[in-house]
Amino acid sequence: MCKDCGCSTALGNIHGHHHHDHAHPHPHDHEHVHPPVERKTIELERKVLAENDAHAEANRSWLSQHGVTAINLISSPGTGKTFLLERTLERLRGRVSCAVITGDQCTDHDAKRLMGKGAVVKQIETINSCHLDAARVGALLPEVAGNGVKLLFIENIGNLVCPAAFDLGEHFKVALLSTTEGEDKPVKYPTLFNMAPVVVLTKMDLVPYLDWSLPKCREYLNMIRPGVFVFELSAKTGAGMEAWIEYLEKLVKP
Amino acid sequence: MHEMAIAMALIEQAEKVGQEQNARTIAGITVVVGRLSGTDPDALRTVFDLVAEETSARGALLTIEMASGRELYIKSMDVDVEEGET
Ligand SMILES: Nc1nc2c(ncn2[C@@H]2O[C@H](COP(=O)(O)OP(=O)(O)O)[C@@H](O)[C@H]2O)c(=O)[nH]1
Ligand SMILES: [Mg+2]
Repeated sequence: MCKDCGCSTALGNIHGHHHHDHAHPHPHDHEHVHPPVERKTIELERKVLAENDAHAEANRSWLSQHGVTAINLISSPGTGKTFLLERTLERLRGRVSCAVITGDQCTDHDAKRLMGKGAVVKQIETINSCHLDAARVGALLPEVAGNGVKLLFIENIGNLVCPAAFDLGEHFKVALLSTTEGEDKPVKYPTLFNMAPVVVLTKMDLVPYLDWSLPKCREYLNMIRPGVFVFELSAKTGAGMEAWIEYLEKLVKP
Repeated sequence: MHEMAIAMALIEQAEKVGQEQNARTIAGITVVVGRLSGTDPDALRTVFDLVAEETSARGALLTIEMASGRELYIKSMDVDVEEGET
């Protein structure tokens, strides 16, 4: 390959060096001796994200060994992930030992909102990435979830698409959808809603001000994932929070 | 847009396979992309060449086969191996 001129090497050019009619800036006083090359096709089934998946599996076994249940919360920005976590931590305080890893592209605003509620909180700033990955989460686990924590919430970067592709080693994903986003997001963004066995519909207090239909939303959710478990709540008014908290308490092993 | 991360992971895996096979260069990669994998084939194609640039997969031909589920794996690779290595 000719690094100096940068001209592309054709696929058939298998000697790692090519001849062309413009001048080379490097001298040609060295010998190129390459044995002949043979092209072969390899059939395989190798996961593209094998590396991330390996980290995720390591995280999952670490979590299980330490008796921690981990859930990966995914939604658009502004759905109310942090707000729900604030109210959740307050209610679980003194009952279930919790920890939070929260991801945002920039700032530690969310970590600040979540602190002082009895949980270990750690912010990941991804800077240029649209998702958390398993290696990054794994590096924080001993520090965050090591000391008798039973329930770990991972608040992913606000994004309906990218975070769904990366297994973090959580036990399952929870998708959040706010009423203000419209009923049809599950069919528009099926990847996430297909992967999440649990969905939380947030901002139910705003329904009277919107043309938003609960039956329609549930229908879309069931189209993408039949039998999905749905919570309807408002972290603001507290409506529906009891069922969510009870559910979380049941998740935690005695 | 996480296809940059996907492309980097793809080439990393392809280079591992290449090493296992004593390949000198990777000439082609066929990837299966599921519709529910969260990966956009056009975006992947766009960043692939750029990511491959400094690797043994430079100039490699990327072929994408669509599938219906969460598939995201390398199905086959064309590699150039020195004769006698096979
Ligand atoms: N009315 C109402 N607003 C909410 C509710 N939950 C969150 N919000 C508001 O929605 C905005 C975004 O919430 P935030 O927790 O930062 O969302 P995140 O980006 O998903 O973490 C904030 O202004 C919250 O006060 C809710 O249940 N009802
Ligand atoms: Mg947040």
